[in-house]
Amino acid sequence: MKHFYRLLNYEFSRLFASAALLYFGVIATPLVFLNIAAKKSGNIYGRFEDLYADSGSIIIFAVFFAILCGIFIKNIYSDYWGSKGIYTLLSLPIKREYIYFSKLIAFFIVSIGFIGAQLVGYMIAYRFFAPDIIYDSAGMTIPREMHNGLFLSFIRSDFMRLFLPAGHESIVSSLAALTAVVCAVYYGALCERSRRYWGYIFIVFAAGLIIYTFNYRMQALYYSEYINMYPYSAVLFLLSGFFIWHGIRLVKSGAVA
Amino acid sequence: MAVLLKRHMAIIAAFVSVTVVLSVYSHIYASAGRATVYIEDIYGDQAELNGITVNGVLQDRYHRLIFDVKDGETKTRTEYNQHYKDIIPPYYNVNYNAKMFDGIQYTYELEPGWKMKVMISYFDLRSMDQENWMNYSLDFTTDVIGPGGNQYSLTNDTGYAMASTGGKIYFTVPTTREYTGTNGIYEIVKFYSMSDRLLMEANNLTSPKDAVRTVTTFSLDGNKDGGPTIEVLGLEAAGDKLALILAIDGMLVVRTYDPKSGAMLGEVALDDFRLVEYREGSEDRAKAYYPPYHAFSDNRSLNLCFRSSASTQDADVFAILSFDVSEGITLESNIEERYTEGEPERFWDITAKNGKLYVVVLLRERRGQSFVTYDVLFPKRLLLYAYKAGTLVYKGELVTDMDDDVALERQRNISGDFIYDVPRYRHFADVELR
Repeated sequence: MKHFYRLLNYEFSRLFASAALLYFGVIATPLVFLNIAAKKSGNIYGRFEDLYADSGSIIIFAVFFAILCGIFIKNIYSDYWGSKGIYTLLSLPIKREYIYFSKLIAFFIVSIGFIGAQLVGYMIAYRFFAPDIIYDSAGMTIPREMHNGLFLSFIRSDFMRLFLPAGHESIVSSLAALTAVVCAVYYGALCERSRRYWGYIFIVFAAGLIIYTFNYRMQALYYSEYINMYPYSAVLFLLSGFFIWHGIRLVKSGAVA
Repeated sequence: MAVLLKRHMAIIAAFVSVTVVLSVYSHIYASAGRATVYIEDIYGDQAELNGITVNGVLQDRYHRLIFDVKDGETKTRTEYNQHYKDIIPPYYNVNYNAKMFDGIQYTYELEPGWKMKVMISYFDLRSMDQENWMNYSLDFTTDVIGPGGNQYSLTNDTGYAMASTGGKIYFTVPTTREYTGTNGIYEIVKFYSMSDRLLMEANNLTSPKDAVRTVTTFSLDGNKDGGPTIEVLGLEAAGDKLALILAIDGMLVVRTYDPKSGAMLGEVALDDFRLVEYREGSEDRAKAYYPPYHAFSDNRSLNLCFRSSASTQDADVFAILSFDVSEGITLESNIEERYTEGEPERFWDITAKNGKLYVVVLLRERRGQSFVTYDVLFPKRLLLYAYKAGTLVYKGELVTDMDDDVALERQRNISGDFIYDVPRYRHFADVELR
């Protein structure tokens, strides 16, 4: 266990600098775009969640998410470049499961931090760009903030509800997606290293399920038939289990070397 | 220290990340409880409301704030919508020729002819199942003789002519002075599915007689031979009784019936109440009212509310009538209220309890169209009134954050960027007094 702990810290320390930079980007970049969007006439007195969507901050998030996946992939492949750290790792007198899980858990920590940065970024952006209500009170106009506005802008944002879901069904769905994404990125790299290209079928399937359920969740309050998301979440958890199980097998057999 | 941090950085980072996510989560969802809901006194002592609970929902597309105000204390609970069927259908959406009973919408149409034909169909608004979308309906030819031709007029929309008690639906025909023959109160026994009806049509059959049971009948012949004219304003249920709302020579008459036997239990006539059309040009001193009304009832009482012709641009005047229907029917109170703060957009509930009459009404601020273009954008206030022996003893407002949503939109309305989408803005649903 001590070995595992050291390995986890080692893996995490390699990710730390790029993760910190990424978090800064996730928090700061939308502010720039919001500042531009807030000046558009249509957004003056608009709701914050509409301004956020209109500013392109959702696309910005997608870009940073791609960068996050890129950081994970670079982290995996850097073991094969230059010093060929993978041979060192595989020759260590420790369980190979530790090698697998230290990386996977480091990825999870970085991913949760990423979500945290997105949430904090939204709150900071709200502080700067929340609209004022101009109240007409006995001939005086008094600007004031919307009561409980941060709460409302969170629950009224179809995008932010993916990160901050209300209701058990949505919470499970979001957790299932997070688990599947992290496991699938790692598994994808392992498949490529070991030339088990058929594994990509499962990754594509998992991606399809996540897109399908997230798309449903963003539309469910407007139209569309009701869908029970538990079976989809269950399949995603099963796929994550498969990714972990087969990933460990690949690492154990040395196929990834 | 730095070495120690570096050795344990993964666990520290994990702790920090999880803490950030969970604290944002709990901070946001805990702030749901900070919504404003309280009663502000305008007139009288709030203790007059003791023993009565104001409950309801303030909802938008995303969440429902369920509130419960009793003896000055507010309890709230927030539920989050997962699917659009979680949204309580906004009251704006119910058609005038339809009425909701237990979440099922019944639509009532009339087909003119020598004898008026009634068609009632239903569908379950709560269910999105394809099967339930299929219309179940009923065709019934009454003995009401129409004014002739394809034109016909009604006192009130057909939605007024349906009532439900004891799990059964009853209806009448909202006839004006132009109709003759025999009207009645009928019970719907059976609806036919679309496929049944197509089969019947193919075989040139009409709905079998057993689809409808006649509870009672009454003659409209006064309309023909110069006797007292009779008009049917609507049918209401009060507890296990039915109340037929009539205008006889323009005077309001309410009759109660036992739906099982069809026996008339009582009748009350309001001497100083005339329909507007009977008042014109006459010297009659009686007050004049418009036929559409709002009705609320429980086992003991039936409360009706009519708009008066005394209404002006600055004040809407309504008569609030409360009847005791526990034995026969008697008029308990007849209150005239002038609403000056705004025009009543919706009477949510009128209830008689503890010897008082309580009214909860949503008023829409009275400002010109130059102020804002759309009805949903007007400032609205939910007001509570309590009357004792016909006089006002308390008036208060249920204060909420509802206006914040539309206040923001009002500012946008000026720039022309308003989005007409009712569930986007918080609005009341299911407000009642208990």
